[in-house]
Amino acid sequence: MMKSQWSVSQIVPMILSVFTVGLIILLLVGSFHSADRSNNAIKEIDQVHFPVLEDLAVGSRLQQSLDFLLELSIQSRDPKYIGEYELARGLLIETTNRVNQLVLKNSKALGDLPHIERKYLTDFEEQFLDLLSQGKFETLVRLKSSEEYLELKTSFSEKMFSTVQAVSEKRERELVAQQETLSREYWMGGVIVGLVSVLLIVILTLWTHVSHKSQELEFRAQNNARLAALGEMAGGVAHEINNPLAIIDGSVDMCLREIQRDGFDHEKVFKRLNKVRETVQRITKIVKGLKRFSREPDSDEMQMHSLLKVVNESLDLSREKIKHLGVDVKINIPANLEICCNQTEFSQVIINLVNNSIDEIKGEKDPWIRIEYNSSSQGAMLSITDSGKGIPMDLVKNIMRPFFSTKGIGEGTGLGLSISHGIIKRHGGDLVVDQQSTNTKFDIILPEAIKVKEVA
Amino acid sequence: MKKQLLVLDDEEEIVQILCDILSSECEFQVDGFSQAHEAIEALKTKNYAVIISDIQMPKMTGLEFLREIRTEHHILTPVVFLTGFADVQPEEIIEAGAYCVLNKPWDLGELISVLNKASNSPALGG
Repeated sequence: MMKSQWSVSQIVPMILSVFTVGLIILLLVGSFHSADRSNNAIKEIDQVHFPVLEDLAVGSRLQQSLDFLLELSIQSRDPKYIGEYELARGLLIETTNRVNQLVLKNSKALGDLPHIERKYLTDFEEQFLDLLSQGKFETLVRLKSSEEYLELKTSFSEKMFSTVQAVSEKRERELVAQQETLSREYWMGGVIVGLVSVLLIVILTLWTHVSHKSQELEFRAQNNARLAALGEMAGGVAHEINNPLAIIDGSVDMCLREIQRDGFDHEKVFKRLNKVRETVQRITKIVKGLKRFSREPDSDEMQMHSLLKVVNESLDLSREKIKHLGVDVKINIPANLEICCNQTEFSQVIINLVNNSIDEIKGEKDPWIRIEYNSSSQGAMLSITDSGKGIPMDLVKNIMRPFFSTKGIGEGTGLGLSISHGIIKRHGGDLVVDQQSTNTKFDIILPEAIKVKEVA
Repeated sequence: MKKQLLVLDDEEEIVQILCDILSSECEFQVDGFSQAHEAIEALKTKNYAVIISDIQMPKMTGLEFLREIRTEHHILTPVVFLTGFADVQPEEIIEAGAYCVLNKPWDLGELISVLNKASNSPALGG
């Protein structure tokens, strides 16, 4: 079963990168949105101002048309333009009313604008129409040139003009204000995005730095733990070698004495020397185990190894101790299983777990350790169980943490399990305590990445 | 009459070597055992002058063996411990009533001299 393994050191830069990309997208979307908003704001302003300005322009034109039609009728002394005049006058009244209504309705946006009064001009125009229809052109000319009428007309034109000016100015001011708001928002947004980007870059840089540092520290801690364990083991091994050395020394002593005797027993010397050879092999195994443990894990690559052989060779270092403490070790691993692993690292985990077990159960009446391979639908698993009574619940969550140790000061580094856990995690597996077991049981879960493969 | 010497070590080779060397090199009649309970049985029936015992042994350690023969069987024979391990503090061993502790591999001259001294000393412990 393949599990995806994400460490914090991978997740954090990923989140930060996603944030940065997200921020850039936000910036682009934001600028499009701003442009859109700007267009909408201008449209909104124009929706209020344009109809008024249009009507005012139409009104001025209509007033000019009225003057022109009246002048034309007087010049030609012909009332034939009376229809057009009436039409233009109606339109002008309508337009003026609309302007007044719009001004009133949009007084909030347009401000207080004066009401455009046309009633008196309309009265005059009615008289003009009467005079035109009666053909009284002379009276018409007089009335048209009257001071009162001229004043009213000028006043009307001025009001139209001043309204146009006021509305235009208002529109201009609003557009400028709108531009200012938008550019301020742009500026603020830019500053915020810039600051956040800088912050993210700083965090990303710091994080990279810190994770490099912690990787370095982890590497150093692992190396230190290995060296500390090696130191502990070297002390143990010195003692373990003493027994076989005593056998060699004693055997050689016996042989030397025997060959000095007259008619010495060849058979006895031969047997003894063979014992010496056997015992030298015992020591060789211990030294090999020590060498395997002290080797830099980097020098070992991931390769296929027989799981049984890896476990057996890992035990070589502890065999003397196991024998003298009377620990019954049983291994149940099919001989045809191969595992893809870094042998040095994997051995370190087994040595560490077995040594922990030995330390815990030594002194018990019948101490035992079982190393078994189990395969189920859940995946493959290498279990190391000992006769201990399990790990108390409150310790389980701590035992994989660095520097956690239940051993006395100077007896353990407290790094063994945390390093072992790290090694198995790097292999893509997991190292867990089986809390269901009545004995102390550690499971090395070997997912597919470890490739337990049956060989013929 | 030869003095009786008892050798106890879980490593049979060591028992064999000690029996061979000590019986040919000194005035001892040597009996060797690799199991503590067998040694205790022999101690109950025979009067030994000195006991050589390993410390680190499965089932019963040298110290347990010493305590048992002293307290349960009241055997006061001097015990010389021979060990390849140094897990146990010498003071603790002497306090438990041992004659002395020697290291493996042993120096034969030293071993023989210690055995001679021990066999001539009044019985210890109790």
